Amino acid sequence: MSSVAIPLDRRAVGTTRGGRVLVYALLIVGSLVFLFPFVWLILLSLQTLKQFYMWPPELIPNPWVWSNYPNALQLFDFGRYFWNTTYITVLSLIGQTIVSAMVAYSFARLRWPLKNFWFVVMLATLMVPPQVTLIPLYIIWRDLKGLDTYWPLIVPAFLGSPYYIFLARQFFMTIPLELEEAARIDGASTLQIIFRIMVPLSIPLMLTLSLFSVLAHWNDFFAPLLYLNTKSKFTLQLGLLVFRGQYETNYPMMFAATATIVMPIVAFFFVGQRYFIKSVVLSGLKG
Amino acid sequence: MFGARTDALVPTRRRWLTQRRIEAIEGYLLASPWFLGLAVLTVVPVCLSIYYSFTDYEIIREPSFVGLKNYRKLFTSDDQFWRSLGNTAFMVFLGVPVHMVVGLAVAMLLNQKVYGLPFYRTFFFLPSQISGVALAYLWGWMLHPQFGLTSIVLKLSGVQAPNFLQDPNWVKPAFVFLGTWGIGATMIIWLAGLQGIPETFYEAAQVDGAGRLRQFFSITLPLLTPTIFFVLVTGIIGTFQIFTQAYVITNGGPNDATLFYALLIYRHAFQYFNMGYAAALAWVLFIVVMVLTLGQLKLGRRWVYYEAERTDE
Repeated sequence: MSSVAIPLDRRAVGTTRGGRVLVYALLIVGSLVFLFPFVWLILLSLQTLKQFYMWPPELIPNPWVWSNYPNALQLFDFGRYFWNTTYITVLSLIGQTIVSAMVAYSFARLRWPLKNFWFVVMLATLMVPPQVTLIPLYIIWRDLKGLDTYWPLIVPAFLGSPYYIFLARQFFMTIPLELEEAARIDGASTLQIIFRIMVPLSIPLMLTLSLFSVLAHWNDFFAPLLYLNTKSKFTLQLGLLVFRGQYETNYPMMFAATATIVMPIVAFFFVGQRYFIKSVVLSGLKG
Repeated sequence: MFGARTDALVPTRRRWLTQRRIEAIEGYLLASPWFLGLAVLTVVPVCLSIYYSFTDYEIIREPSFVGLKNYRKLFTSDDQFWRSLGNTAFMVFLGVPVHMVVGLAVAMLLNQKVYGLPFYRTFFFLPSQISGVALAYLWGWMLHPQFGLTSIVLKLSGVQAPNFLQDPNWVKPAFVFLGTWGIGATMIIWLAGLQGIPETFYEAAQVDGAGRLRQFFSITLPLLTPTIFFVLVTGIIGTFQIFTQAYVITNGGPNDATLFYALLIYRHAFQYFNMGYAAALAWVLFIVVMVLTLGQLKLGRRWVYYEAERTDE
């Protein structure tokens, strides 16, 4: 595979000392600002309800109520919801990345009749507000006996998401043609070209798509709310809502549960982030 | 399924199966999952919803055809319709550009070689991952007239803080301001775009003596146009979907100032159970978004640059 991991340093702003200081200052201040809601969420989750409503407001928990976490997790079936959510998220991820890469390649590279027309159609579907299809889809799934199952949540991922296809197509179009032409001469099939040339050359993009897919399904609240009725089938987000409804406005507990749901995402991003940096594979130009 | 290309070089009796035709068949086959999705997830439901929009349809009863009644009511006697359209337009014209500029600026900052980069990236990214309802509560808490962070900061600096959640003039800018916390997702798209720009271009520019500003306008921006295009289009579409914050924090208020279009549709569908009218509203939304996006697509042909474009001859 003619690809090369290049270091991130493409424009070292820090040629001057002042520039470097400025970059660090912006990064640190910006990080603090962006991180604050999250820190706040965690700090609030460790307060007593009494302190939560205190004036003037206090940031640092006093006392630190660590028991908010086990208590919050006990209030809803965390283990089960965690498994349910993981199941839906992983299956959707597999469907979305494979199908998006295939469809995107077709749109980016192959020539077929009416392709440009269908591309516009795809953009149009991207524009169809979910509100338009919501009610009919619900009735269709009801007729297919798909209510209260995971089918309505997973099947769409295997039918190509215009958002991901569009993103992948845009990226594929920036990859030089020469590589795959060489592969074709060597007898590579189209599927081989997609999964052994285009996808490896699009690692940053594929990671980005995976990240989006995982986050979208992990955080999805509306679709599970619509389609799932049985409590044991709920996802984490839905479980969180139940928790909220039953134990009204116990914000520290609710924030504790929320923080717990956010943690796997944080971990996932840290892992992905390492990969982003180590193998930023850009294009065959650098091979 | 997809045979090696060399097969086609072998002379066969199937003369009509030209290289070009094989490519077309492969193209359709590869795109077929999407075609299926198009039919069952979009075309059929959209057709059904067109039908619903011409009916009186309360969930429990069968729909009954009423012609253009819903649309007539919507354009002539529904003040909330115009109000919500205006509110949403405000968010498009203020929110989308602000979030694009901030997102790109942060992405460029995170595209530098600095120590602790994974941590900075994660920090900027994290807030966008606090999910809808919980984020909405956090926003609500931040804008709280008494306990909120914004109020505390403004009070400490001696400024009389407006009551963001009660003042119709302030609530939307407050939403845009808090929305910048959620730019993490688009920041990654910007970052992927920036990393797609070959380093050699900057090296060549530096050799030619181009300054940083010149490099930005002559290399970064032109090569980012596919990304800019994508972020712009999805940003506009996403703005029309703004729902959770308005639903959870303000419930459309104060004085309908956060009655965004998606919220109006939700109310008609799931609070007034008027599916027909909601479908009509959804259709008007669809048409507005389509006109805006097709306009962008047309304009995009003039300013979006692709490094390797293969055109149909």
